Amino acid sequence: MSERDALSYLVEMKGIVKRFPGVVALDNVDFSLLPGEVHMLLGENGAGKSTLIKVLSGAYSMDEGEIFVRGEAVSIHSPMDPLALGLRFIYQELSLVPQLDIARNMFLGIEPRRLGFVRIRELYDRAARYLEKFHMDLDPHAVVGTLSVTQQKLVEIARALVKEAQVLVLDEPTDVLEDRSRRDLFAVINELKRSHSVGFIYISHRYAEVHQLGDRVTILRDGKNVGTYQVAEISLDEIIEKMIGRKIENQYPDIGPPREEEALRVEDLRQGSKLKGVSLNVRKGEIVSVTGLMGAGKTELGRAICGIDPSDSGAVHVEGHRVNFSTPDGAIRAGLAYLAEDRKALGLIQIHSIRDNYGLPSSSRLTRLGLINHGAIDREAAEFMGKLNIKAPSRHTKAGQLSGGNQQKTVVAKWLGTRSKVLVFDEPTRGIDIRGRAEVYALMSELLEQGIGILMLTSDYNEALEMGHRVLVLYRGEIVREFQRGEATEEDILRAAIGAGEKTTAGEGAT
Amino acid sequence: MKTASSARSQMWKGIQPVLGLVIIYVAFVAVSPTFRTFDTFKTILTQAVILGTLAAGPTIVLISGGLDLSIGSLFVLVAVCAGRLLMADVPVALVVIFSLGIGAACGLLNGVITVGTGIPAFIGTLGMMKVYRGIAEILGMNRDMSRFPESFQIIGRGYLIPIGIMAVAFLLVYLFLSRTKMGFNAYAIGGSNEVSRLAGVPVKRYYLVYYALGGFFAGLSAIILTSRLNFSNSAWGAGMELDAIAAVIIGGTSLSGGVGGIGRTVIGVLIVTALNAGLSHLGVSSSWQRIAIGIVIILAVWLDVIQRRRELKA
Repeated sequence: MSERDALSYLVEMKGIVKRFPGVVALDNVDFSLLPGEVHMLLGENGAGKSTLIKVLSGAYSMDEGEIFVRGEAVSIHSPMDPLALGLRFIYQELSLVPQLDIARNMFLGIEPRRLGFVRIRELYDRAARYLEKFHMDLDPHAVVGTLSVTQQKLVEIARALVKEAQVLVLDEPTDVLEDRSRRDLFAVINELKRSHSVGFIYISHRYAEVHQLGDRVTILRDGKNVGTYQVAEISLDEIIEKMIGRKIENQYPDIGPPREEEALRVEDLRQGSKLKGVSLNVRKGEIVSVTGLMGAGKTELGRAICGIDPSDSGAVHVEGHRVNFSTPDGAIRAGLAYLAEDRKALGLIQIHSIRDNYGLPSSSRLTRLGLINHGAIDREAAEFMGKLNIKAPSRHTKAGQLSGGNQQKTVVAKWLGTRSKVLVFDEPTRGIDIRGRAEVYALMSELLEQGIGILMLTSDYNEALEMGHRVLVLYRGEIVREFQRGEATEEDILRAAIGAGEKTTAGEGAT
Repeated sequence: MKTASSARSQMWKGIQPVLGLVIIYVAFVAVSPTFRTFDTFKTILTQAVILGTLAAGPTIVLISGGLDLSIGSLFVLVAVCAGRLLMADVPVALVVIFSLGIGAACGLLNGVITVGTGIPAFIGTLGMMKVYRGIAEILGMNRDMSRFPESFQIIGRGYLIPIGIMAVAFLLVYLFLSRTKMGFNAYAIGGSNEVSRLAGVPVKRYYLVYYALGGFFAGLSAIILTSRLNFSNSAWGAGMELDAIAAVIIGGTSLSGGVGGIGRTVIGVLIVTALNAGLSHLGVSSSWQRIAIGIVIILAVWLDVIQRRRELKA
């Protein structure tokens, strides 16, 4: 990059310093973006990625440093400034109006008008032209709320491009996407950088994406730029090493053999068109991974087993006893726990403390003669915080203030408090950084030693293979393949997940 | 019990309404020396009884994330029912039990209508507000309901008994919210319906109880006023639900659920009552009193909004 003229940079940030009381969040960081490149920005939580982006977006003002856009020094003080310069930011959370259609979202605030009236036909025509130009196969009349998450991401990108964006900042855009949708998104990004010379700053937790998509990569650690590389020149291991500042051997712990006794048995579980007769079993001390594409029925399976959504038929047994799983309460009493993927909305009450969250499902157990034993809740919550190594100032810390890894550990604590025998983890490490992941995996392996059975629903094939004693592949509500540990590769799983396995099923022709 | 943390900022937030109350009281004492007498103090407490017992209900309902706009109408319905029963020479004990029962039953019905059907609480209870008031008017219009038996008049007479009833009501609500499973879970349900359901809490069933308790306290409040004034009138109660909700909010219970407590409501009720009493004492008209209360509501919630925003940034 040294040979390039500084003028050719779309964006150049030089010597950026940002201090917060007691911390230097950005310490003399340099960063640049060329037209038509995807520049991956990596780092652990707290490394300074979002701070750097917030400086660029005008959400924070920097203490020192300079920013150049297309070679000219610019001052960015408010969120409006970067917009005028052709910079657009697409955050993790979707920022579309779900009730409006694609065209209206794309032109929200800049509708073509004449005499104060919106020119409806022109709006749809232009939306259609843009979508075609960007090679997005979308109907401008489709209501955004009915689209898939991938399609909504594409609409957000289209909206940014309508406003003539030359720089797009994408903050973990694929975190909620599964493999195939990610490829769709990547195709659009590749197309845009080639034919429109758009530059992308791309923040991701998925390190595998670096080599799939990136041209250059910058790694931040503790607020410093520890290196900018052409992606071809650096391996994934080296990137991770740079990120955490030490060598990481293996984020997956050793997992012992399962016990003989059965923990969970599910027989012929059916639920409309979502689950078409699923049977499986999990032994004590065993992790069974269930994987498949989005919409294959993973979450539905977990929720049905744990009594959250009603099933049409089927049976669930925990340690040989039949479970009344028509309500969550019945399933919990039997020793089942569902650890939802969406920890914010379904796992923890964000505005409440760790101890209150801990006490919630255990409040029946901890009630004597109608009175709650608050002392016991405090004692047990503190005990679990120690045992599970939950890092927080105290048990009164609000759940919403915890990191992803610590939130997940708090959810686990909450369910261990109900004396669970089987934990159903739905996407246990989604949105959690690499250090947090390793801790969650280590915790799972400890749970196995205590004889707990784990059913892990995951769309991360690597995780499914590395953590599972067995891997079951769901396809349209049915288990189509079972792999023993060490028997399959990610590709084998993918093949089964898209319905290309040898075991074809009768329902398949019905698409 | 407040749900949350012992962190210093939380404590400071809890203290603010108390501080507001002290400032209001001290200000009135400074302006008008006669305000300081023990008599005025007793008067404020007595005046707080009707609003206080009524506000016990929305404290529980708001913490659980619900809302009941019908308790003002429910209040007058119970007052009219009690008046008619007393005029019919029904024994006083039976009248009291029956009146409280009507309150609780109507509250329960509100719960069934909103939680049972999924109609938003605002709409469902707005509808019932009209229904209860209509029934109260049919039962009570142009009827003489006064000069009740001596044994009924005792309930609201003087200082000790009404203040005592309010104190017991507050204590029971305190124990309910802090020590019973159903009360403890009210915070969780208000914090997140779905997280609570997934944790095995029978959310809908519990809501019915919270709403029934709201109706019960509306009934209790109505009995005390009917007894104290020794007559009953179907024109009472208009806007009382909003006064009660306002007092709860001023105390620091969150309208969006999950945060609050009866202790805060006590403070909120005292702020409203002291403000009214003080302004009356100074000869300020009731219209200006209303304006003052309105401003206090906005200030209290604004303060809360500012602090929450600062917390988010920190």
